[in-house]
Amino acid sequence: MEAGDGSSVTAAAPADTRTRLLVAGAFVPIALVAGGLPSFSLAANLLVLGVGGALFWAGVTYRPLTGRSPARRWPKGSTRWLLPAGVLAGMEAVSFVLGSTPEHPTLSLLADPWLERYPVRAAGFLGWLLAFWGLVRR
Amino acid sequence: MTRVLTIAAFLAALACLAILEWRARRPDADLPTFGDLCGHVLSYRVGRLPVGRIALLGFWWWVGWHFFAR
Repeated sequence: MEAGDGSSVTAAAPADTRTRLLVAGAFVPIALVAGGLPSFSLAANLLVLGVGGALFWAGVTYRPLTGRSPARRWPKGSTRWLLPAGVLAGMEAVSFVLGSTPEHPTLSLLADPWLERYPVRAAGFLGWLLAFWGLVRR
Repeated sequence: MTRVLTIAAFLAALACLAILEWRARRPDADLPTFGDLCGHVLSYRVGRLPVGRIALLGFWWWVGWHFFAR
């Protein structure tokens, strides 16, 4: 893929599409099943721990074929992400310390009523799986 | 009142993150995308141990467990 000639680049496109279809074909059924499993159920725990654990292991042992050496410096402009990310993390931490009450809700407390609905829960689970795919390719 | 303020702060922070991502994806961007930052963390190693991958994918795993299993 990184040979530098045009033919290898164009040949990569169908393979990339096939990979995406394969991932979508594997992730969508899992998300559809997971959407029907209520919180605190044994099945939900087993599914998240099993699927998550398998993907975690695959992601940690996978070696991306980027050919890049690990970057030593943060990309230029990275610090601009610190303020909003810090506010988000700080608010979450304060709400957690204050007990995650309706007056001081954490993100998970705010998300709970939405995640009780099957379509939202299934879509959220699919988003979680696709986030893995986005991470592991880097 | 504090509930409204808390939610407003969360929404403001998330909106800022979305705007930063939008700006980072422009052709003349002078800041990295969120994916670029994740890529940098993922590439961090201590010897042969992929510390960045373990940390970020471990956090991803925990998020899934926290929101969908408990």
